[in-house]
Formats: sequence, structure tokens, C-alpha cells
Amino acid sequence: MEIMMTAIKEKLRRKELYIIAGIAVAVLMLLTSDNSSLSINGKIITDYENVVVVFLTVTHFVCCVLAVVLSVGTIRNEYERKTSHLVWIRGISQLKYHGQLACANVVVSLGAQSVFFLILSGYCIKEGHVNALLYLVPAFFLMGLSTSIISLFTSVISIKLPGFVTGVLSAILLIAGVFHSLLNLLVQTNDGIGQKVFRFLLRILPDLNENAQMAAKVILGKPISFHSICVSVLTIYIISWGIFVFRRKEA
Amino acid sequence: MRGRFIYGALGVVLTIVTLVTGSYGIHPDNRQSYELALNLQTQVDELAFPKFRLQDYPVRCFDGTYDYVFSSQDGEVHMEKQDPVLGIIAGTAYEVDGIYQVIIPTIDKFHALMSVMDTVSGIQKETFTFGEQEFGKEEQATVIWHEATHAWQFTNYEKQILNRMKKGKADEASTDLSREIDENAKVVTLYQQEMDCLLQAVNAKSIDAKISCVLKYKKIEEQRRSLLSEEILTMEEYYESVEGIAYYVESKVYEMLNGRAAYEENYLMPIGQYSNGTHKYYSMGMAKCLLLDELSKNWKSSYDYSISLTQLLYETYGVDSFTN
Amino acid sequence: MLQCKQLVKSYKNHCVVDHLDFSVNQGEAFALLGSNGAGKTTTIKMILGLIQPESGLIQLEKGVTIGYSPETPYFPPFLTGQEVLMYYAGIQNIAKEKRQSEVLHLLELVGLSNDSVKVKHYSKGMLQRLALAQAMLGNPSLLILDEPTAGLDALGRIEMMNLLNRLKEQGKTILMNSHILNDIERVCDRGIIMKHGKLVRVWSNEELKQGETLESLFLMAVGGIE
Repeated sequence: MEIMMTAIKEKLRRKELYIIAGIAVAVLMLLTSDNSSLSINGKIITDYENVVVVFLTVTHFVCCVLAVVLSVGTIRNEYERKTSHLVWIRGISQLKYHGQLACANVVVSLGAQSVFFLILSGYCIKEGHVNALLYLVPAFFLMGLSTSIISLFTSVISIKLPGFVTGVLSAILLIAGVFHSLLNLLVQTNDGIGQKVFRFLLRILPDLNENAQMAAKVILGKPISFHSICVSVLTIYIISWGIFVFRRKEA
Repeated sequence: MRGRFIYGALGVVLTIVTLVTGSYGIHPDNRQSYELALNLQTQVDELAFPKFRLQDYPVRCFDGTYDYVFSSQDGEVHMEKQDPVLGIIAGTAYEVDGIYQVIIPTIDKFHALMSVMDTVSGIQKETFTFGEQEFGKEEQATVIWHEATHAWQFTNYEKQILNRMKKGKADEASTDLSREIDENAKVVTLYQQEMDCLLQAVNAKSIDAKISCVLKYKKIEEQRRSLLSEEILTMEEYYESVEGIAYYVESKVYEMLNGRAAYEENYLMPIGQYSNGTHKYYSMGMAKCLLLDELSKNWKSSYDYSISLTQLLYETYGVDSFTN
Repeated sequence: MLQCKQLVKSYKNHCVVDHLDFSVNQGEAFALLGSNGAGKTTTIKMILGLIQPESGLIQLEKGVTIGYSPETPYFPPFLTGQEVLMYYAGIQNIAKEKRQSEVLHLLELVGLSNDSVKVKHYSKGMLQRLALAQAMLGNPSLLILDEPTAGLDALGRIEMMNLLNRLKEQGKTILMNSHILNDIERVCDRGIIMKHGKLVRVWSNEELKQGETLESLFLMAVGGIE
């Protein structure tokens, strides 16, 4: 656990994390403050349910982006700075090394997500929905499935691929996952060879939006799908096998 | 090694749990919506469309990959999974092996489409609009009847419909509707006045009041007609008669399922509201069907799409000979 | 203790280590010498297992533990020196009860204080000392040092060389390379001189005692003065 704890410590002590999270929180609060207008069918709304849905939708996207940003350089930097040398010579297997670094990325990404949920809990208290605080915990973990998928995927492919390529592939997964339903509909309202390719890609890429929807449903007391949770956990599991499979030949 | 074995076993367990908890094939709600639609046959019969039976037109629900084809024989509902006929999300009637069939998306696909359409069409500067429409079994049942009406129309009157389209060169005009109508302020104003007249006519209590509104409508309509090309007018008449009648059936089914108050709110009140695109013709056509029903439902037995619904309205209400 | 036989390593068709043969005996200090690009660091990395030789054999005696100090050490910048050593001690599974005392002893040994200065504020010399300290964690029997005096001032170099001599007296085996020949002469018993990846000269302290200087041996081996 030393490698993971040190990686977490290093990320927490870096100012970039707080700057990025601060910008993201400011954007989020701007979107959901009284100064912005939310409307449904032309009527401006401020009611609790819809603000929660909006907040979670935007939080979901922002946290997935943060997961990429926080995870893309961790493993790559270890090899560029050659700190990996002092780990390899101590007989630590690549599985343990990369695995712990990947776990550190996931933990820090979830930590960034927790900031947003703290803001949401403040809003729930302000609106008098104190009982919703209990549901924020399972909602956090449901949305955390998306954050974990993105963070873990980014960490795993960064073992072998250069930073730019890692970022691009992670961004593709993020966009396809967060906007899965919309892209699915767009693909199915058109025809052609491109449609078949995109349809295949959307079938294999996970629907991350489902996790955000489930988080909202939990907070609002609506039923959720156990199958969707299983799909996300299985996705995390499959991606984690990349840590076993991807190896570096040299430090 | 032992660790990897345990991790591998965990994966097997996860996979099994995921497979077991998943639902395969089509969601049961889609079958239930078809059965719900079938059960309304007796009530739809009261609308007096000749030989219009839902069971004559198989319903294909497209889930993004396959068509799940529902049909009814001897009171039993059958479902068969087939390769998609169109392969895209659409609500339509389409000829398959010589029979017109209804093609619709599954309920969740339709719901998602409507939510996305509301969001995309509703985004404005500094505001966010989110779709709130809940689309379920009952809404699916109304869509089934709408598209089944098209299947019935094209099965029985395809020749007449296509002849009218060709006569007015309407197929060439299909892309000009927006430019000639929605972007023409004068035309839009006249349309709004027409729609107000139709709404007043529908809501009027006496036949004399209705006749008066229809007459007023005719005068405005003739002014508007003078501003539009023949192709556009034929296209409008097509939408009013084909889509208007289907929308009328849909609205009646909706009333059967949701009651009068919901029907008035969702179908009657919008008659007086102008909208860009073709949806206004759905409402106007429906309104004309309601007005025709006031005098006699038998108009459906004789109407063969060889004239416009508007012309039929004028003839039925006896205002045909009145000019501006 | 360590034997390298016919080691070969190439990068993009350029041979950086060319059929290298040498051995290091227990308890001696052994030097790898050569000008820049001779293949010294590559050889060290192959011995450590950080890179794989294309061919050849590296044989290490059973039970030998290795400590390594890199040429350009990089440590997590937001940790203090003590935290860095605790981190590596933890990775190495040094017993928790012994960790603190060993870390403090090593910091004292290399002349670093245990205050809360973060590594990002360390000078090059302090980083070098920290690198040596982490190399000595767990009391390894073989120390592999890549340019251990780089960045140290004159006093620091003397202290470092004295320390290495003490470690040698304690029975540690040292394999090091350095550009500073004086330092090598003060500590090492034997060594090899490399040029373009090849072994061109083996030297020993016996030769130096007979009047030769390491500098002259080096220049003769790599070219320059005849």
C-alpha cells in the first residue's frame, strides 16, 4: 500500500488538483445558482428535483473529465522521471506497482467527486431535504462507478501508450460513455456504413450516463437497476485485467 | 498464482450475475402496449372507419438491433424476432411482403428520443430546457394506432393519395414548406387566425355557431391560399388528410386511455397554437375530423382522399358555395 | 559475487554494450570507467534488471541484496527526505519497528537532517546524499552507485569517499562509476575501462601502486596520449 499512499499524498500536495477542482466547482455552482435560469418547456424552474438532476448530470461529466486529467500522467511520469527504477530494483512486480498507482488515481478521482457531493449535500440541507443526505452515499458510489471506469481505463492504457494518445482514447471513452444514449439515438436515426461502425462501438463501450441517472434516482427515491450496477462493476473488472496484461519491457 | 485464480473466479461470478440480472429480448411493456392497443378495437370501431382492424397490420418494434413483430391471430398475441426492415428509429407504416406493417421504436427508445428532441429543440441562450415527457405503455398504444391508421390508409387508398400528390407536384415541394410558410409573416398570421377559427368551431356548442366559424375560416383560408404555390397547398392538404386523420385516431385513443381532461389539454387546446413545421397540419386535420363528426361520422365511409379534408368540410357544412 | 558474460545491448542498430565481460568479487570496490556514451550506465541498468540485454549472461550469487543510487535521482518532490526513506523502506518491507531508527541513522550517516524540508527544495548534492541513503536501506550486500559524487562540493566528495571506504571495510561490495578519477582511485580496488561499449582495459590498484596513474591508464585506453 506504500506506493498507493505515496501517490495519493503527492497528488494531494500538488496545487494543480485544487486549482482544477476549484474551477470545476465554480463552473458547477454558476450553472446551478440563482443567476442561471433553468427551464422546462419554457417555464423557469428552481424546484429541488430538477436542480438535483441538472447538478448530477453536470457533476458526472466534470468528474469524468477530472478523472482523465488526474490519471493520465501518473504512471507515465513514474517512468519519465525514472522513479520506477528505485521501485523495480526492490523486486516489486509491475502488477503491484501499476496496480497501486492505478488505485491511487481512482481514489483521488473519487476524492474530487466527493467535493461536488459535499456541495450537493449543502444544497439539500438548504432546501430542507435533510433525509436526502442518507441517499447521497449510495448515489456517490453509483456515480463513482463512472469515475472509476474512466480513471482506471486511463491508468491502464497509460502503462503502454504515450500521454497524448492516452488522453485522446480516454476522451473518446468519456464522450461515448457520458453521451451514450444521445449517440445511440443519433446512430439509429441515420443509415449507412458509418452507422454500422458507430453502432458496434457503442455496443462495446459502456453507458456511463446510466450511472448518473441511477445516482439521481437514488436521491429522488426512485427504483434503480441492479443489472446496470453489475455491468459497470464488470466493466471495471475487465479494464483491471489490463494491469495484468500490459507490461513494460524496460523501466 | 493463487491470487490470479481467485481474481479470475471473481470475474466469472461477476459475469454470471450480470448475465442473470439482464433482460433479453424486448421489454414486456412493449407487448403489453400492443395488447392494450388491441383491446381498444371495439371502441375504435365506434369511430366508424370502414374495415379498420389493428390486427390486420403487424406491429414491428425496433430496439436498435432487431424488429420484434407483434401480431394477433384468433385472439392470441404472437411475437417474432426478425432482422430489421428499416434499421433506423422511425414511426411509420411500411410495406413488408405485400402487407403494410407498423414500424415503431421500443418504448425506451421512443422515450429517449423524445427527451433528446425536447432538450435539443429547447436549448436557448443562458437557459437549459430539459424534456419531461414520460412515454409509457399507453403512449405507445396511441402511437400504434396512429401508425396503424397510416397502414390502413395506404392499404385502401394508396392510389388516390399518390395521384393527388403527383397532380399537385407535392413531392417537389416538400423542402419548401419552411421557407414559404414559417418564414412568411403574413402567411403565419393568417394561419393563426385560421387555427383560432377552428378552435372556436370545435368548442362551439351549436351547429349554427360551428357553421359560422367554418365560414369565417374559409374566408381567411382563401386569402392564405392566394399567397402559396399549388405544390405547397397540395402538400399541406396531404398532411392534413393523411396525418390529420391519423392524429385524430391517436387523439381518440388517447381520450379512451386518459380521459377527457387530459385529451382536451394535450390535443384540443393546441389546435389554436401555431407551430413551425408540419405538426400544425396534424392538429388542423384532426380539428376538421372533429367538425365532420359533429354532423355525421359516416364521412369516413365515403372519404377516399381524392379531395382535401378542407374541401370535404366545406361541402359537409354547406359553405362550399360561399366565396369571399 | 557478480559475473557479466558477453553482454550485448543495442538501441536502434547502435551497439552500446558490445560483448562485455567482467566480474566483481565480494568485498571489493569495482569501477566502471569510460567517456560519455561508453555504455557504463547501460551496463549498470542491465545488472539491475531495469533493461534486458540482447544476449549474454548476468550471474549474481544467491542471497545477494542490491542497493542502487541513480545518476540523476528523482524523488517525489512533495515529500520530505525522511518521508522518502520511509516510503522506500516500506516498499522493501523493512520491519515497521526498525524503519524509523534505520531511516534516522541513514540520514545522519549521509549528512542530511531530518527536518521538514521537502525534496523539491533540495540541492543536487542533497539529492545525491538522499540517493545513497535510500540505496543503503535494508543493509544490502552489493551497492551499485552511478556517479555518487555528482553535484557534491569538494568537502561533500571527501565525506562521500570516506563513507564508501568505511562501507567497504564493513564488507560491502561496491560497483560504481564516476567521471572523477581521483575519487575512483581513493576507493576502488579494480575496474574496467570501456570505449564504445567494449572493454578496452582492465586495471587494478596494484598497477597504480607501481607508479601508474589512473588518469594515464584512462587516456591510453580511450585515446589521447600514447
